[in-house]
Amino acid sequence: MEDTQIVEAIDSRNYQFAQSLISLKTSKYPQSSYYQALQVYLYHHQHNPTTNDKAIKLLNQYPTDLRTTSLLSKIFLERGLNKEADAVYENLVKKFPNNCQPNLLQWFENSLQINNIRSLQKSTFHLSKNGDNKYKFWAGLGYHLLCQTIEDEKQIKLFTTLGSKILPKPETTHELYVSSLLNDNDTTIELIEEFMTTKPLDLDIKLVYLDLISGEKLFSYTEKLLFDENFNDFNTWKKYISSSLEIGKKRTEIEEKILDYQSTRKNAKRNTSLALVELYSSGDEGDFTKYCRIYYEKFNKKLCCYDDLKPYNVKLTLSSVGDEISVENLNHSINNYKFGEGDAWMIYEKYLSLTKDKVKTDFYPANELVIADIMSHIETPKEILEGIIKLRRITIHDPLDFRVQLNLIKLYSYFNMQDLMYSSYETIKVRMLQIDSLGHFYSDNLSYLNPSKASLNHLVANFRFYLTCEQDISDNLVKAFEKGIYNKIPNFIKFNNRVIKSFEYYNTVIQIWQIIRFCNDKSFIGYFQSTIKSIKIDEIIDNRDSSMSEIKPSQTIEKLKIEYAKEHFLLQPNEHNFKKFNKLLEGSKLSTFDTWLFKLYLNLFRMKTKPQDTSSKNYLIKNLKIAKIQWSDPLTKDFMYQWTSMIYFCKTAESFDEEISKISKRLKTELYSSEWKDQQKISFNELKKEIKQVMDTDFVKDTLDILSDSLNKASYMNKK
Amino acid sequence: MTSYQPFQLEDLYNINSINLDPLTENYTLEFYFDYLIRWPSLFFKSVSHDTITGYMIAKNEGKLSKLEWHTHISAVTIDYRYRRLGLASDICLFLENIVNKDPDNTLFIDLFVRVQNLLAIQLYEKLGYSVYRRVVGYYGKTLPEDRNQIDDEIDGFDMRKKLPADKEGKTVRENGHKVYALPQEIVF
Repeated sequence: MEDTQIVEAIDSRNYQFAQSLISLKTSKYPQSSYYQALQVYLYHHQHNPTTNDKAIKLLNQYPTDLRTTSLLSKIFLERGLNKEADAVYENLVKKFPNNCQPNLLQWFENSLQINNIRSLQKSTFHLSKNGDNKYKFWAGLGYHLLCQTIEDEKQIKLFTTLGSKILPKPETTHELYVSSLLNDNDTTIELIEEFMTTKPLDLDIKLVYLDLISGEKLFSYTEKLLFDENFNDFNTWKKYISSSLEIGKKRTEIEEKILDYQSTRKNAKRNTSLALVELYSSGDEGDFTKYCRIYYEKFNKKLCCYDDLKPYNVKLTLSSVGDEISVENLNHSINNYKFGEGDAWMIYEKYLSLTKDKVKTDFYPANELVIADIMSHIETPKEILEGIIKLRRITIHDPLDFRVQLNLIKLYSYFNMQDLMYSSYETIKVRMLQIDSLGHFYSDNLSYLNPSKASLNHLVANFRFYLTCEQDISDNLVKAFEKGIYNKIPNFIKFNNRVIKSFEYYNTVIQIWQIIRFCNDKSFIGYFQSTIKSIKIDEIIDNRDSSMSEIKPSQTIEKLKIEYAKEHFLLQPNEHNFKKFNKLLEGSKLSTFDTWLFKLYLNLFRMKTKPQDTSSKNYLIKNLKIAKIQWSDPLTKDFMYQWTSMIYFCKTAESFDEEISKISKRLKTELYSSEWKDQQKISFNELKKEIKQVMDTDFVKDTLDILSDSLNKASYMNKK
Repeated sequence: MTSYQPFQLEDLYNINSINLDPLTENYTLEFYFDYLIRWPSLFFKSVSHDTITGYMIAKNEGKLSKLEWHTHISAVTIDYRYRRLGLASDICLFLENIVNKDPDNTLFIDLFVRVQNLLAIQLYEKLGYSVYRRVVGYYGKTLPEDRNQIDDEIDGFDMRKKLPADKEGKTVRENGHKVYALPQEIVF
């Protein structure tokens, strides 16, 4: 019999079998600390009240077996006893200071796995005592990472000093990087300069050095990088200019050097042209305007021209665009438009013939202008429908332009045209980490807008990405430490933080759970029930990329927290969860409908926690009526959201109380009534008529038919 | 204007407008981690006023004793708004400037490009790259067995540029487009 069988039996709640296996092993190996730890692990799962005492008793026996220390610290962590979890290892350091390195490495790896920076610092500090320089840099970095998690200036100063004292002389650029994080500027400059005498600096350290030095030193170094080492980097040009001025060089002298550089190097035009703008941006206005003008003339046929000059807030007299239909003239028109001249649609139409010669994967640059125009006129359903038609027309020439597709999704979503949203989402091929930042374009409120098996599968696939991600991050963090790639580690940790606290992750999990409940899907119920229970939201980091569309996602952090509190109460209806839900509702800024809906839930929950209080029941009897619902326009996704929310509520309420159950069932039947579907159809037909009056072409007619069809498919009537 | 900075993992959140390009590959996290950890200085980005405009992912591999120690460009990509500025060339030159000396000091840089991608081939030729061999079926779905069964749709050119460490020019050759190889033979 393998020991893993015991763990598996416990994890799968086969407690009786697990106990029999443990007893068998304990009688055979009475001295083994691991079987004692497994016994405690079983108690922990069985919610045995003696668990803590038994775990602490084992802790005080100073177990060194790696399986035991791993399991014991896991038990403590799961029970929220973080100090004790650390004590598993700290006790060993005290008792066997020279003989516990494997345990310390385990502590270190565990701390990375659970993103516990305090434990990471402690474990690396103890590892550093064995004399190996590698661990000293680990410990130094541990101190730095700890400083990133605290705000007390005194503590930061103390930890930084302690960290710097551990560090030996750096021998690689990565070690030099750790030193730069902990030492004062003068020491870091000294260390870098000493290093430079024998080895080249990598890009990281070059940038650190450039940020630390000033005056003559900065001037000499930037001059060397730019003029001798071909390091044609705009930020270095900026530092070259500022340091030249700082040491008293005249602008004309610097100008001459830049012009000389420009005339002799082939690939330096853009950086040096802008360096001349930069040179005079704080100097003579006439020269500044002259160089902005030169820049504009040189680059107005490139798409980057406006963006390059934008930070300088320059007012230019724009040159007129040539008559020829060419990419260059199109780009010139686009730049002029961004500087405030021209009409987006006229530019778009004028150069449209260029799309005939372009490859499918190249985008027509004028799309950007008309998308912005469309998205700035979407106040009414009619404008939104017109916007959809216009965007769909753009896709004829540019089916793969992600900007068009992402904005189309947003406009489709207004009417909840689910199949069209999904089709656009598939076109842009959102993959891997993009799920975290762009997944919301399709999955925003999916559990309410399309609670179906297909949506469930989509969300579960996204959830799998997070599972893989978690494992990848912790494995690679260990690798980065092992390989001494220290200048990447702080950002790995930040990245890890963003993924494990990601809004989209939490939102995916709760939406899966809601669809499981809505569709009575049994396939994942056990797994997600325990996942929902175990999620404790303290901090949410919103990684959703909202830069691609003017329309922001509808799901908010505040609402997500309330949704979790609601589900937590439903899974564990107790006073603590009730209070948490109530507290989140107090002072929340929700829509009128949501405020009303969550008040229904609050009263429903109060019936559970305070059955003697009849006011909640009376409130529900009074309010659980179709006439009490303040519906949005039946054409909109808001209507669908409200409809599904009410179905969710009725399903929940059915299991609470006989009288409330009866009312809920009646309301549910009314919600499925067919007359609502007709109302939606009628509204859309009226809207179609309005559109046809202003846009009557075959393309418009065909598009309206496609949209009608999509609306029909996504109708709430089909959600039975 | 362009500045260069080391690529950081969090940058993956800021390259949607680059990676949503239909021709740009979106890799697994493991792939990015691998390059960041094993070849951190060869994974960098170009930046314009805090906007990432492009990035380079490269690695060093091969044995020096076999004259195969080289830098391989795995991906180089530019935001659509910053194309036709010579930025891809600049990024390639920036890489060259890193690996043509210690500690890398590789013999040559290589990359793969579709036989049909004439624009890219021209760009690399301007930068001093030449075709070393034609890799038959490199972009195909299955591994080919016949090295003479050429197909422009799926064949790729292995292009190389020799670096100063290859003093005698032994890692490049003329008329490389007439030399055919199978993908399974390209192992370092």
